[in-house]
Amino acid sequence: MYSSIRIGGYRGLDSFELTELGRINLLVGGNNSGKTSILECIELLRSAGNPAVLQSIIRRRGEWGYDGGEARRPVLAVRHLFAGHDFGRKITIESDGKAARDVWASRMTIAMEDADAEGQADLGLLEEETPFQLRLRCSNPIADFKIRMSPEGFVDPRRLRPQRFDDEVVSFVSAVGMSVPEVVRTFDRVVLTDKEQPVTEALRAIEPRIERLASVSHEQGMGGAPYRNARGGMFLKLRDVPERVPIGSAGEGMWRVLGLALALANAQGGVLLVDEIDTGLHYSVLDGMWRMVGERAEALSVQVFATTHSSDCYRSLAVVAAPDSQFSGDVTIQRVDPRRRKAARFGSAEVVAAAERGLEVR
Amino acid sequence: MEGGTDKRVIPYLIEAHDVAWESDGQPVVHIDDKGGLEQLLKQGLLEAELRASGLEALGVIVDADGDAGARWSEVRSRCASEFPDLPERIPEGG
Repeated sequence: MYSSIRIGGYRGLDSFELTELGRINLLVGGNNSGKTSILECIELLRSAGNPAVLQSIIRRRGEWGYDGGEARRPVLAVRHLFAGHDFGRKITIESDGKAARDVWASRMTIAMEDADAEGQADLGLLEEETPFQLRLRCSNPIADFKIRMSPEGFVDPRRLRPQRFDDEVVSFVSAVGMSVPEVVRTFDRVVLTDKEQPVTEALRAIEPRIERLASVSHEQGMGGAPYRNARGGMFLKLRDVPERVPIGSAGEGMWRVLGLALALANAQGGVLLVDEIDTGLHYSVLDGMWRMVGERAEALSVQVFATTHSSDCYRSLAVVAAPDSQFSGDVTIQRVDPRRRKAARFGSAEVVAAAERGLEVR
Repeated sequence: MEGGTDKRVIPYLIEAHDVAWESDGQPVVHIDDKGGLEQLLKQGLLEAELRASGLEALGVIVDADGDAGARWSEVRSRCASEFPDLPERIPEGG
């Protein structure tokens, strides 16, 4: 697990540090304070700067458009990653691990530099060839990616191809939740393994009558199939209900919790990142959601970083932070304020005290 | 503060120092009775209070009729992470 993370020059975070991290870390702070940026930095670091991860970060933010050519090819605007939207400064992301010399202690940099010979060899995709490259370097695992870019800070998405790492274990769940293909693909990996039952149990936090969850292939509605099931053909069997029920009928919260449970299963031994974790969830199910996340994160050795704006959400985190709960209580709330250099940290005892006393931690 | 009766002292103390007790009809400080020393010094409570957002100042009032030095040292250790340079003993001049 990461014990601390330091970020320099990434988006609005000039120089910022998270310390004494726990198993579950909830990031709070105002709009545009940099909570999502921190999740992105962890995603980049844990994937050693994998260009595919960089591409998904830029696409999630909508930081892309089309070039000026007749073919209208999409281009990604990488300059927004840099503090002040310009390339003047190098981005650095550093971490320490709980154990020495493991994969959790790492350092990566992202910088614009003059293209070298290796970069030259990969020319020809942008309309105008340029002498610049975006370079992503990571110390652990060792990685070094050079990506040709235009002087305005645009990159051809075809240059950001996925690279495989054996230990690349990071799941990102955005504020809008997992996409339908992601859910179906992850469920396929989990079904009929020992990870399936915990996923079903997770859904019972929302609807206790659930007996089984299944993906019905001819109703997946992908690839132009005649049945347009908006939820990838996922169905539920409820106790005392003879018909199978489309998961969409059970409401948005069910889809959100399914996404969380699958993302946890997918992130075994790695990191789960969740933007606005309470989206779509009624306050009455938040305790159940945290118990599920706490239990699965421990069982699967996943470190969780999530963001929220909701006081119900951080108060209910106390159910997994309390010393008498069944969890180790390895929980922190970190308040992100880019005007400071370090997050204000609430450890387990402080999370419980803040919940009991109704303190404002955001 | 440690107990309920201490509450009544605060407005008098504040006004004795020429500070108006109310501003726009609201008291200038929020007083919270923690219900005893044990509760007040419970692990995490003062630490969380100190890190709550929007906080400008935090006062802690405890009885000094027992071992005042021991009370000071307990409160000091709770605040150590935010204020590492608080003096070890209560300064004689306050």
